[in-house]
Amino acid sequence: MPLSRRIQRALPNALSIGLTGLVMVILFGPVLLLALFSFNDSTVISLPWEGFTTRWYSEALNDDGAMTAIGNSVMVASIVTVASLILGTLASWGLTRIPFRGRPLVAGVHGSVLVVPWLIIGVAGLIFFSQIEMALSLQTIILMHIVVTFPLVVAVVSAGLIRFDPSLEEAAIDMGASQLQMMRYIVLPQIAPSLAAAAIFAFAWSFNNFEISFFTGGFEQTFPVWVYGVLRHSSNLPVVNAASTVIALAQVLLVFGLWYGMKLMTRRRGGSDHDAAEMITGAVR
Amino acid sequence: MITLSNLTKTFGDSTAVNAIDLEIANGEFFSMLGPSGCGKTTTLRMIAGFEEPTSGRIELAGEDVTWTSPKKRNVNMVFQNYALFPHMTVRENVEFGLKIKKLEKARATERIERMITAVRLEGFESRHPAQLSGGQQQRVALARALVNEPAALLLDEPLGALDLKLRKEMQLELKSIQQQTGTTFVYVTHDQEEALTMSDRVAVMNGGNVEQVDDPRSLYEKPRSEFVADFIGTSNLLKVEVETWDGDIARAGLGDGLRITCRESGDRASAKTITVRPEKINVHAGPVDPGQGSLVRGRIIENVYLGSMTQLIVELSTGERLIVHELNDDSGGPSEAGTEVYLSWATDHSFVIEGAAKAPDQQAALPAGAESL
Ligand SMILES: Nc1ncnc2c1ncn2[C@@H]1O[C@H](COP(=O)(O)OP(=O)(O)OP(=O)(O)O)[C@@H](O)[C@H]1O
Ligand SMILES: [Mg+2]
Repeated sequence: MPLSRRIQRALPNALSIGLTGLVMVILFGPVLLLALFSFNDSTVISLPWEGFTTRWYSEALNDDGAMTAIGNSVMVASIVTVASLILGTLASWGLTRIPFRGRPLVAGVHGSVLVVPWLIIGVAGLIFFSQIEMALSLQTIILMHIVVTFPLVVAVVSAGLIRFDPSLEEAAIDMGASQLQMMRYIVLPQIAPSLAAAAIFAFAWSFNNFEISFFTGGFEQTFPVWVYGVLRHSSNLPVVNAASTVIALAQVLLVFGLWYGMKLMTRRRGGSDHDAAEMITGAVR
Repeated sequence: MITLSNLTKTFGDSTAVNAIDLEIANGEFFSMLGPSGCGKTTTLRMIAGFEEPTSGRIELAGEDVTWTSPKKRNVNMVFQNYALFPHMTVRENVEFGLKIKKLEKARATERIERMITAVRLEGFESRHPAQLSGGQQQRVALARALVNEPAALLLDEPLGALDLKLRKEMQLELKSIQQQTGTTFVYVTHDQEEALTMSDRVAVMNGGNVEQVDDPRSLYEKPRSEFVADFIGTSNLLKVEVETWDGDIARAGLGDGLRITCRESGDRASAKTITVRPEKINVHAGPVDPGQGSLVRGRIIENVYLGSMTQLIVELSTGERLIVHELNDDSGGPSEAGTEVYLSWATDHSFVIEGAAKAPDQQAALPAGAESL
C-alpha cells in the first residue's frame, strides 16, 4: 500500500485518539492535579514538590467540621434521592400512561425547571421560606433540592417508560396479573436501569449542590458550603483538597460499581454491553 | 363458544368495527382475514378486553363479558410482537400466568414442562428472549399463553414477523398444536393463503364489516360479494343483466346463442355482477354446446406462460376482460394471442354476487375503513 493511502487510513484513528486524549485531559486534568497535590507536604498548591505525605488526609479525618458537613450531605442527598425517586416515578407514570387534559403543558413545566439556574432557585427558596417564616435548616435544603431533582427523575424515568413496550403490560394483565403485580414483576424490573441512573444523578446533584444549599441552609452546613466557608483561609486548602479527593473518588467508584452491576445484569439477560452503556448515557439524553 | 353481537367500536368519528355478529364454536380454528385497517386487531382486542366496545355484546361460554376486565376473561392473547418479558427466562415467561394464579407447585411444573415439550423448546428453558430466534420467540409466546389452558387463544398476526419459510413451518406447527390441545383459536391475518390453509372457518372483513363467514372452500368457490371474490384468489367479475331466474339459477342471454348462467349466492335484488374463477373456464376454437353452462366469445389479447399453466387474457365484445388459466397438459384449446375463441364454464362455477353498486354507500358510511383501504 502506498504511504499516502496508509496515512489516509490511519489518520482518522490517530485523530480520534488525539481528540479523546485532549478531552480526557481537559475533563480530568484539574481534578487529578488536585488529587496529586493532596499528597504534597506543603500548604500551597504549586510546585516544587515538597515530599509525599498523608498528613492532610488524617487532618481531614479529624476535622469535626469536615466530617459533620460530609455526614449532613450524605443524609440530605439520601433523603432527596429517595423522595424524588418515588415522586418522580409516580409523576412519570402519569405523564406517560394516563391521558389527561393539559398533559403536554404539565410535562413542559417539569422540563423547564431543569433549565432555571440553581442560583435563582436558591434565592427564590430563601425568599419563599422567609415569607412563610420557616427557619432555614437541613430540612429547607432538602425541600429545595427535591425541587430540582424531581424533574430530573421525571425526565430520566419517563424516557425509560416511553421506550418500554406497553404490550408487555397488556400481556401481564392478559395472564391475570393485577395492576400492582404488573408493576412489581414487569414494569419495575424493566425500568430498573432508568431508576438506577435517576438515583445516581439525583444523589450527585444534591450532594454537589452549592448554590441552593448556600441560600436555603441554616447553621448546619453541607459539604460544598463547608468547603466554601473554610477556603477563605488558604491554610485550609490542603485539608479541603484531601477531603474533596476522597469524596470525588467515592462518587466515581459508586457510579462505576452501579454501571458494572447493570452490565452483569444485562449480560445475564442476553443483552449486549451496549444496553449497559445506554443506561448511563440514557440518563443524560 | 365466543359470541359477538352487534359489536361496534368507534374511535372519535371513525368506525373501526361496524356492528359485527360472529359465532365461534369450541375447538374451532377461526380466522379473521382482511386488508390493513379493516378492524381485525380492534375486534380481537375487544374479545381480549383491552378495548371497550362502543356498543354491542361479547359472550364467552354463554357469559356476558362485555365489561369484564381482561384478567378475568378465560382467553389469552398472542401479541404480534410476541411481548415476551425480556428480563425473564423462557421458563419464567411460561411460568408467569401460573405464578400469578398461585397454582400448586407440582401441577404447575407438570403443565410448564408439558407445554415446553409441545412447542419443542426443551433445552432452551434458561435462555432469555433476546437469545432466541424469531420462530423460537414465537413458540415461547404460544407456550406462555397456552399454559393457562384458556378457553380460546387470540392470535394477532402471530407469524407476521417471520420469513416465508419459517412462516410455512410455523403454520403447520400452530395447526398441529391447535389440534392437540383442542383449544379454540381466533386467528387474525391479512394473508389469505394462511387463512385458507389453516382455518376451519374464515371471516372476511372489509372496512369494519364482516363480508362473509364460511369454510375456506366455500369462500373460494362461492364468494358472496365482489370484495370477497376479489380478495380471495384471482377472480373474474362480469357485469350482467339477469333476465330470468330459474330456482336459484340466473340466466342472461347475450344473443347468437351466447349466454351466461350462474347460481345465486348473494342478495338477488342487487345482483349485477357474476364471478367465475380463471381455472374453471374452458377455451374452445369454435362454438360448442355448453349444456346448462355459460358460453361467451372473445379474443385472446395476451398469453403468459406460468410453468404448470398458461394465463390468457380474453377480451369480450363488451370490452370486459377475463383471466383464464389453462393447464399446460396438451389438452387445452387455442392460446395464441389474437385468436378468436369461445369460453365456456359450468353453471355451478359461477355466481351472481352483490354488485359494485353497494360499495360506494359502504364507503360513505365508513370513513375509517375506506380511508385505510
Ligand atoms: N387507538 C386508536 N385510535 C384511533 N383509531 C384507531 C385506534 N386503533 C385503531 N384505529 C383505527 O381503526 C381502524 C381499524 O384498525 P385495526 O388496528 O383494527 O386494523 P387491522 O385490521 O388490525 O389492520 P392491520 O392489518 O394493519 O393490523 C383503522 O382505521 C385504525 O386507524
Ligand atoms: Mg392489526
